[in-house]
Amino acid sequence: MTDRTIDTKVEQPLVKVENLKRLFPVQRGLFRKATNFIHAVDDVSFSIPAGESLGLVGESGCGKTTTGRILTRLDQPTDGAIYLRDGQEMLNIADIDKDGMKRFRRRVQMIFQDPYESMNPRRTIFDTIAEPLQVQGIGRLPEREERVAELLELVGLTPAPTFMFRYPHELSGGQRQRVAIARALVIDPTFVVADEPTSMLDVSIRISIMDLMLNLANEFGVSYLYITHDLAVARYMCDRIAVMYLGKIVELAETEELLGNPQHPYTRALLSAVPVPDPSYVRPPVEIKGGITKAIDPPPVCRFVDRCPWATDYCRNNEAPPLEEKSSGHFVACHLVEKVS
Amino acid sequence: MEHILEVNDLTMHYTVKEGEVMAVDDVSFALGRGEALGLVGESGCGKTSVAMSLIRLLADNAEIQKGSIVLDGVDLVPLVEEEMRTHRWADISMVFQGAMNAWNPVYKVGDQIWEAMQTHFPLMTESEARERIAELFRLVGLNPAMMDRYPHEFSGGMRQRAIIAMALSCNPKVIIADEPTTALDVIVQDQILKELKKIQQELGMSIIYISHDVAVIAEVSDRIGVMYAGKLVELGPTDEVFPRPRHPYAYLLLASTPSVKGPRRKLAPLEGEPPNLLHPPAGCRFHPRCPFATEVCATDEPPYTEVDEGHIVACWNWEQVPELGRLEA
Repeated sequence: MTDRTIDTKVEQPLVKVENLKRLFPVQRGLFRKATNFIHAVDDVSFSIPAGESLGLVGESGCGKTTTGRILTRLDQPTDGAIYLRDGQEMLNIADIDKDGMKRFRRRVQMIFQDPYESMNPRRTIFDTIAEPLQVQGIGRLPEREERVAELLELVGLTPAPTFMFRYPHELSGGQRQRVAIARALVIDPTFVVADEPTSMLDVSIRISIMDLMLNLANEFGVSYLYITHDLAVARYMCDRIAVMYLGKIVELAETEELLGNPQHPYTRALLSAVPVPDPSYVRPPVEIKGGITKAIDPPPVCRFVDRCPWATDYCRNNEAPPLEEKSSGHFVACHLVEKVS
Repeated sequence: MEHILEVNDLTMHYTVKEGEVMAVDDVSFALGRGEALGLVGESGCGKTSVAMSLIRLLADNAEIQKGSIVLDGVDLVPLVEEEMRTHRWADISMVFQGAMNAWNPVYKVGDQIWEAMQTHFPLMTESEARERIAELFRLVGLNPAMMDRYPHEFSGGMRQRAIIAMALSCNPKVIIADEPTTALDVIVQDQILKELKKIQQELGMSIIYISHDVAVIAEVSDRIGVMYAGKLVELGPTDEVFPRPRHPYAYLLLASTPSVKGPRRKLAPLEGEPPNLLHPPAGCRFHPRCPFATEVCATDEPPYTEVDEGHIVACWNWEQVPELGRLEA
């Protein structure tokens, strides 16, 4: 672990997300105007310093993927802003025009979950990886070939010439995910949003992909927003972890602090539900009621109130708790957790 | 312990146009009455093929080459389909991977379970069936009123509970649960695993769990079998195999599993890819990727060694494999 600053109010963040919101209309018939909205991402703020990996963890439907898509401008926020460091300035990514977009794509890349669906089956591995170079107009064919070969070596697809002109269907899932990583990294991005990049892979291949991504962070200072449902994977990959529940970040802290000293009732439940690969370990019971719902026009109170074993009348009748720093670098959104420091 | 199921030298191959895929090769194990056995391994290791052989739901190009599957005294291998049908679901049933997404959307869930029961209980009246389904629903933690609802009204976890209810409907002696919680979120997974464990204890059910997730297997199984490339490479009590796997593959599989508990350890990657089972390597099938491999591994197949009571391993160099240790000090 490095001893970098772990405040969300990071001095010189690479990425800064402020009050991000994304509402999706719930359609109620063909010609009727949507009057109900799913609050997929609701008032989410965080910062990522250069070289840090932030894990975004939560169950399906918590808004983690939507957040990632907005950060890479594959989706537009309903409200809120995202800033990306550009030299000394922070650039609002909503203000990026068409020309700026090319520059933005050069710096920000995304790795998708499914190595089977995120690749054009008719393009060779070389074409797939070289596409960003082509779009960016970087180098000529011989240089591109050299660069692609370099990347293939880096992600462990060696000898590179034997892979360059194959097609995706000739590769295994692990090999394809390596290609996806090579494609995301071919133009030296500074920030990568990785959405469950290893969840479809076998555990042994998963480690080599995760190690590869960690090495790139160490060597080239790549920062990740690492989206996953798996706290054990987030622990391996991330400096800090943010836990999301129904569109809100409920807790954010340095990885070991979050896992060792979880404060929010949801984080505790999530953590105690994770199976541990040791039969002698007895997990604490999961103190949580009911199942996850959808945040359709949720009341302005805490989203977790119906499932929380400790919820009080105060929680039911007051506005949702803000994400507050309860101790140094440890942020919790819960009425019941007292300020410690 | 009395055995409810004995599998001996099970060998099952798929015929494809390039030749024969040796998906399951000489696999032997026994399942005790009321026992939970976990089969773990990565995709393509043959764990699901073993399950499909046990319940005899094999693709047209698959064939059991040799071996026996003795369920409560009856060998299932020589049975013709008609005879097998009287045992399937009634004596041995299965929770299929992804089955929760296989409900027919236009029929009520209860009716679909009744349909499955009718083959074995043709004389059961509707009210008896409803009573039985209500009982099953309570057993798996579902409100009995849900039987008159359609699949889309169920959440993912509820659909999986209903699948388990269906698998239990004919009182089978053995249940095979293939990745029963893989597509579910961890909190729902926790609920389903607890439910299965409770049912197993209450009904004295014998279960074979199949999963790629060693952490899930660690939680639910009394014994664990590790498969690699169609072979069962290690089999033993879960409490012994986890701190001290003896097969190099089992060791690497466990050592590469991240955990939220215990020290933040460097995980060991496993180099290379599993072999193509059209042409598996000679000798030990793991030897090309094995850090402990010696000359003999490339030529001679390792026999099973009993390293401890009830703990067997197929490796020439099992004594070289280091101790993994417990996560919790």
